[in-house]
Amino acid sequence: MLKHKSLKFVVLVLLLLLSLNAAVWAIELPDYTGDIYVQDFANMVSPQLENKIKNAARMLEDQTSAQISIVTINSLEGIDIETYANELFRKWGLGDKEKENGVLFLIAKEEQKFRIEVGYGLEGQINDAKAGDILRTVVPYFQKGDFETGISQVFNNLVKEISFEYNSDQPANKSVTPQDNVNIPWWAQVLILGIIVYLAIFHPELLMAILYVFSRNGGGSGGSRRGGGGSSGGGGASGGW
Amino acid sequence: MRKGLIILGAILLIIFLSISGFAGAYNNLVTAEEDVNGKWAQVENQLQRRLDLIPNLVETVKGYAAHEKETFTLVTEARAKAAGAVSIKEKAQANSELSNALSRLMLVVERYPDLKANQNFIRLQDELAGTENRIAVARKDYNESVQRFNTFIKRFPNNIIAGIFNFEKQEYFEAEENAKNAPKVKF
Repeated sequence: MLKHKSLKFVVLVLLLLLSLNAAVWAIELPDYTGDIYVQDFANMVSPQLENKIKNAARMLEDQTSAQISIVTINSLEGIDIETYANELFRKWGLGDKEKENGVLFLIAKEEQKFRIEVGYGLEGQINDAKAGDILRTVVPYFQKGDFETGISQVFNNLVKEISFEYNSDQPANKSVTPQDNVNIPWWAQVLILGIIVYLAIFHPELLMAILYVFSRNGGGSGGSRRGGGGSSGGGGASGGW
Repeated sequence: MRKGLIILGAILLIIFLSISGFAGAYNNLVTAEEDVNGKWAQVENQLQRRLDLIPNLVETVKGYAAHEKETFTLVTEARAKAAGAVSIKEKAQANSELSNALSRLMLVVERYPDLKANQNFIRLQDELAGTENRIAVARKDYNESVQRFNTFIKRFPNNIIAGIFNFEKQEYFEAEENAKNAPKVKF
């Protein structure tokens, strides 16, 4: 009996130590949902701009395999922005795994700080000074609270630099061009609608399960874009407004 | 006769299994050591990058603050020491001193608004801050790799193979407490 008790105690202490450890060391990094290009956790981007950026970023990735991700967060939770950006970059694996050509633009709303973190493969084209220049030009917009203009300017500049790197034509980043518009014939649309209505009436739980699976996987190959497994070594520049 | 064959087969199987087991463990050790070496090369790259940046930075500051001779000497000496360091421990020590000297230089800069507004200097500051950050990341990656390696060679049967083939514990690139005062350049 006594043995049992002491064993329990030991387990308890171990659990406590483990949880303490986790509390001290783990950085709570968000996961992304949908296309990796815009993750607006702090609600600083309108849906319209978000769509425009996502379309342009998708086009850029199709042409060059490079990925740009714009991430807004409410707070850095006491972590410095350099560490946060680097860990997030690596967790999400921005850019192609071989080319390591991802760029992260991280904006911390509460701390009024931002950072451009550049993957290994783009360090030559977007060197630290250039990243700093890009940030400095948008400081006035951020100060005015015009995040939309600031963010789209940073995005356009990054697209420009990446296009130089790959000598490709600059995608028209302001125009929305519907890309992967799959043409479904009318009878298939009617059929799908019929199935959905049937499920909603007779098997709502099944419909919910299907919707859940789709929202998680982004609907397979034609769905949301994920990180390509790239990494970053801490290149880029930080700033604030 | 038949029994003898079975025993022989069993012995051969055991020998084969243990050899392939040892070979696998040996290969894992080599891979882990290569990882440490690769990460160390990255640390050295970034340290070298900082050394290359400093002369340009000092020259630019000199143009505006010529009489801050003491600070320039401090930085130049620390740089020379870091460039001459050989062992990992020496390098860690010398580079943390260099970080201190650089943060001293950045304090001096605060007193010269014209310099702070200079485009060339602002961009050099970006490069320096970026390099400091790269050093921090490379150091973290290296130390994590060393930790993995050192734990790995202590495990059985890796410890036996490590003993036979002279795999030794790797040294951490220890960040001194004051290395954290490295100039974080903020606008």
